Parts: sequence; structure tokens; C-alpha cells
Amino acid sequence: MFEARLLRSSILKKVLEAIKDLLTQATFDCDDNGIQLQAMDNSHVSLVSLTLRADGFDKYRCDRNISMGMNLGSMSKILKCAGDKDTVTMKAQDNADTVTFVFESPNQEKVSDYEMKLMNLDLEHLGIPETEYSCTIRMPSAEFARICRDLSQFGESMVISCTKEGVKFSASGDIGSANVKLAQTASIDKEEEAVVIEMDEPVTLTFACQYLNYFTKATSLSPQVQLSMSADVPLVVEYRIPDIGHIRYYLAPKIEEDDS
Amino acid sequence: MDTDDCEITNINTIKEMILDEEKLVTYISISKDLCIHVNNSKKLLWSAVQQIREENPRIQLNISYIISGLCANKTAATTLCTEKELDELRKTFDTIFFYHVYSVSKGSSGVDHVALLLLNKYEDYSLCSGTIRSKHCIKRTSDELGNLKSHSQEAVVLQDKPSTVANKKLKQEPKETESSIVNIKPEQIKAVNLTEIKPETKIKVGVPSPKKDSSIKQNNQKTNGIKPQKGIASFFNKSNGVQNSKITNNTNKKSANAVQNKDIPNEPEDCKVDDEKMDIDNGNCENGIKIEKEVITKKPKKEIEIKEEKRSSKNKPVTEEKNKALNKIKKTSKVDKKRKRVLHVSDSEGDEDNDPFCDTEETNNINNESDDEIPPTPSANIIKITSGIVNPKKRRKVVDKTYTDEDGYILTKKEEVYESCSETEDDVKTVKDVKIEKDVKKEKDTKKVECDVSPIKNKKNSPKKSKKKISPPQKGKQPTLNSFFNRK
Repeated sequence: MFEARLLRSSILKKVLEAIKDLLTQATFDCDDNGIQLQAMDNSHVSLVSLTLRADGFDKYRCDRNISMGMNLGSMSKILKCAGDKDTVTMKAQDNADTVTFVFESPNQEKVSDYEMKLMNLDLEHLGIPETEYSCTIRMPSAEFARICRDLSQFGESMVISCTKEGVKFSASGDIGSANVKLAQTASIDKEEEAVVIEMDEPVTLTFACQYLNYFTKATSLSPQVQLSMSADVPLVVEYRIPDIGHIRYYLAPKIEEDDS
Repeated sequence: MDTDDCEITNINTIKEMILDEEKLVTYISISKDLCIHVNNSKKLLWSAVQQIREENPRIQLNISYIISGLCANKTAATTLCTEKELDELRKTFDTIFFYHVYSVSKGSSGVDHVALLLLNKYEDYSLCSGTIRSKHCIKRTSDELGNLKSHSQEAVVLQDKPSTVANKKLKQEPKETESSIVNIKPEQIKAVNLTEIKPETKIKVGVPSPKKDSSIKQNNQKTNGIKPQKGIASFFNKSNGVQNSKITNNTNKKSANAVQNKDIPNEPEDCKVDDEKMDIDNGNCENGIKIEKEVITKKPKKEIEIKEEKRSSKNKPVTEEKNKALNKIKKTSKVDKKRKRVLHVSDSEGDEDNDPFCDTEETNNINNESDDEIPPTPSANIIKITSGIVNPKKRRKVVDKTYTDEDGYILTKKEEVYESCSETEDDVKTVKDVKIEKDVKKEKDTKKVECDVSPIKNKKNSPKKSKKKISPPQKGKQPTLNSFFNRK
């Protein structure tokens, strides 16, 4: 039997909001360590990797490893039925074809339960090697979301260039061009508002703005976002979910066509 | 939380409709526009009024109430009244079934309440018939109602100015109509009719062209991108009603002063006021609002010289006129749509008759509609063939066609067109290459235009979030993750 209880359903709701636009369905792999999800979007350009540790749950029980294929749209609808302060409990029997969500109000006067049918999904899993990235940028997630939103109005692609001077986000299109430069924060009063750049080698990569805007849906999960880049390697956009895990987005860089 | 947010957004929408768009909104129109229950729309309308008065007490609102109940003589009655008259009317009822806000509009209270009936219509379709209905209710056309409204508004503005005889009558009318809603006297009917005949009316003469139908649809749609016009007249747009043309021609023919005054004494002979039974949403009641019959429709035909006179006759019942008007609107709209696609047949070759794949239905429909006044489409030496074998002498060509859709956006579409072969193949190829390049540029331009204009539309439609499928990599530059990561 599988049972996981979260005191704040808002975390799970935000997680679903962060991934439902990219993924239509995904498999939640549950084991003793926690819940993991890895899935690519339909175009196989981006990948979502979600980790929720068992110790982040108020109550966690997983007798057997279980994989639950879920339609994320349906799951999002069910989670919208929960209040932000409600407690959410996910339950599933071994080899069952349904999963139950139980929402309890803080005063436990209201208890709602929703049962959702599971799906047999045969999604390919990619092996993501552990990579040491040339550039790592930590910045406020709201700032990153704002930059992605603003620059996407100028062009379909965004160039992220990390140099000694700082990180530069650029976009150009028919109406013009836009550049946003961020320098490393000199004095760090609040770590969440600081811009920290760790660079071994300068890296310049181009990415599709559309996907970056999808990634920024996870802004509400964490005040800070970490961008990891290396040459000719997918970008990693990581949002740490406090006390429970993280969500990582992988995005393949665009390759410039040779004019010759 | 979600319901509160919905209420707040709905109230804000209602306030925008009243203050910014200067619309005349009723609880019925709100329930249709916002897709909410009528009971909720009543509450929201009342809340919106209260909020407007709290935030902007200087803004004048014209609020009409509907009250229903049992009178002293044990008869049920439903009436409309203004805010000022509400308390007095309430006292006249022994038992009140209900009363609530019926309509709200910005501005002073000089509006003919008959105009409220028009709000129960959406495009060509009549919505719920509303609370006020009767067999002998006269369907006012939008021009009529627009004139009534514009005059009622002008009357308020022109109070300080030196008034002529016509203006004085205009001033009297709003008061009289407001105070005697239950029983409309013939004298008041005359006065009301005078407004329809005034030569000072700013009525556009002539038959509205079919293209104006789309503008009507645009203005009647839910989108808030409607350009605000002056006063309540902005609610009423150009129409195709037959009676409009009658009125317009009457105004043209009758002189400013003498003729109208002479006709006044003759009107009571033609005008009849009947007591009619009213059907109310809550049930039937014996006595209702006395309604006038249109005097204009009973006037002799000689006075009316209109092109559309053939379509309507005075003796026809209202329903047939309604159907004809609706059918006409539908026809013209169809013709508009068809006219955008159909092209003229070339005169050089008479293969159309022998072409079995030529769409005869369209041609027949076009022939049948030739009686309608349709502006001629530009002639071109080209033929559009919907399907089938192509005349070997004709050459297929892709041409850009630009047209305006219902929302006013300029759209460019590629259409296949057959042209007579008058050029060599090489020249055609080069021309095609040039045109294809132009097409691509035009498409980009049109797309940009649409993108530039569409943000407004997208903002309005933002509450409905549609899930989009993520598009595949574009232009071959975007590789997938499979080229970076291997399967487990």
C-alpha cells in the first residue's frame, strides 16, 4: 500500500501547475525514498524531473515500489478542489488501478475524497548523467520569470551568455532586440534576492523562449532558481521545493545552422 | 475564493459595460453575457450599482426597476419604473411578488423604456422574451429605438437652450412616458410618435448595405473591444429593419413643422390603444401594460416610397415581418460570406455551362439573390472551380486574397484560382516565384498585424486557458533531448 500525506496541499498544487502545461501525462514512481517523476514533453525538447523526498511528507508509507501513471490535467482538476490550507493524502493499493486523494480542512470538519483512474503509460526514461556545469547562475525566480516573459516578446529564441562580467539574456526579432544583463550581487543581504554566478568557462547558448516560459510556471515553488549551463549540453533550470525536494527542467539548446 | 473572484470580475465587467462602454444593461443581458443565472445577475447588477455610487457618487445612473405584485383590485401587474417612482409604486401594490433592478445605464433618466425590449436579442436570435411581452407588442427597430434614445438624451442637453415646438414635445415625452407606464394614453402616443417623425432626427437615409450586418454582429458580440460612442445610442447600431426605411423616408418627406402638426389630429383615428393581456415570467396576469400600435405602419402606401417596400406590407402580422427581417439578415450575411469567395466567371469562354463540376447551387443562389441590392464584385478574368477536372486551357494559380473577417481583422488567405493561359510557362514560373516571395512577406505582415492587434483580444479571452500542444522544433535548429541523453 502507498500512502503519502502532506500538511500543505498548496505544494502539490503548485507542483501540478508547474508541470501540467508541459506534460499531459506522467508516471509517479513511488518507493521508500519518495516520489519521483521524469517525463519529456511531446516534442522531446524539454524534460521534467521531479523529486519529492519521503522525509518531506508528514506521513509516508510505501510497502512496494509502485508506478502510477496519471493524467496531469485530471490530477490538476482534483487538486483544485483542495483548499490551500488543506491536508492532502495520496493513497493507492498495490496493483490498484486507481489513486485516492483525500483533502482535510485544518479543523478537520470537512473531508473530501477523490478517486482518479490510473493509466498504463509506457514512457521512455532518459538517463541523465551527473554533469559538472561550466556556469551556474542562482538568481531570484521572479526575476528570471520576468526576463523570460519580456524577452519572449522580441523573439522566439533567447541567448543566455555567461561571462566574467555576468550573465546576459538576449533576444531579437522583427521588432527589434532586447538585452538584459545581470551582474553578480556585490553584497548579499538576502540570499533569495542575490544573483550568484559561478563560472569555469564562458558559455553562450540559445534556447526557445516558449519552453523557458513554461519552466517559469514553477516560480511560486521557490524564491530562487538555479540555471546550469555547459557548452552543447541541455540547460538545467532547477527550483528547490523547500523541505521536500526539487523540480528540474532540462532544455535542449538550439544549434546554429552553418551558412556554408 | 474562486467564487468571490468570479463575482468581483463579473462586477467589474458590469461596471465597465455601464461606465466605459455606456451600455444599457439589463439583468437578462448580463446573465447571457456572463453566462450566469438570472438570480446572480440581479445581485451582481445591484452590487455594481452600489459600488459605482460609492466610488463615483457624481456619476449619474439611469436605473429602472421592475416590480410585480397584486394591486388593490386584486389584479396582478408588472411594471417598470424609475428609481424615483419605485417607492410610490410599491405603495400601490397590496402584495409585492418581487422587485429588483431591471436595467442600468449611464446618464440621465430620459430613456424610453420600450428600448429595453431590444436588449433581449442577440445577433439574429431573440433570447428569452423577457418579462414584458404581449401579442400586440410592437417590435421597434433599432433605428427607431436609437432615435428615441438620442432624442431623449438631446432633450436633457437642450433644456437650457431656446426650445422650439418640437423640442418642447420632446421634453414632455420622457416625463409622460415614465409616469404613465401602466396606462399609455393616446395623447402620449402621439407625442411619442412625433419623435419618430421629427426631421431633426439624425437618421441616416438609405438602405443599409449588407456589410453593415457584420458590424452589427461585431457590436453585439461579447467582446469588449467595441468602440464607445456617444451616449446610449452606442448600444444601437445600424440595422436592416424594414420599418427603419419607412421611418427614414417619412422623415425625409414630411416638412419640419406644418405637415407634422397637421397630421396630429388625424392620428387618433388610426391609433388604437388596446388592453392586452400580459404574459409574465411568473405567470399570467389579467391587466398589463397598454401598448400602442405603430401608426406608421397604418399610413397609406403612397406616402412610402422605399425600395424595400416590396418586402413588407402593413397587413402582414408581426411574426411574418420578423421572419422576413431575419431571413433577410441571414441571406445578406450568407451573401456576404459567399461574396468573399465566389469570383466572376470569365466571359471569354463559355465553358461554365458545360463544366459539370461548376457549383450550380451557388450560381442559382446568386441568381436568386440578384434582386437584392448587392454591390458588384470586381470582375476578374478568372474562374474558381471547387472540385473536379480542370479545364485544360486554364492554369491553376495560387493567389492571395485579403478580406476582413467579422472581428475586423484583415486576413490573407491563399486560394487556388484558374487563369486562362496567356503566358509562357517560364514567365509563369518566374512570376510564381516572385509572387510566392510576396506571399510569404504578406503572410508575415498579416501575422504581425494580427499579433499586434490580437493582444487586446487575447487579454479579454485570457480567463479561458486552453491547453496548447507544444509545437515541434522549428526550422530544424532545435534538436531534441534524445541527442543528448540516452535511454535507460
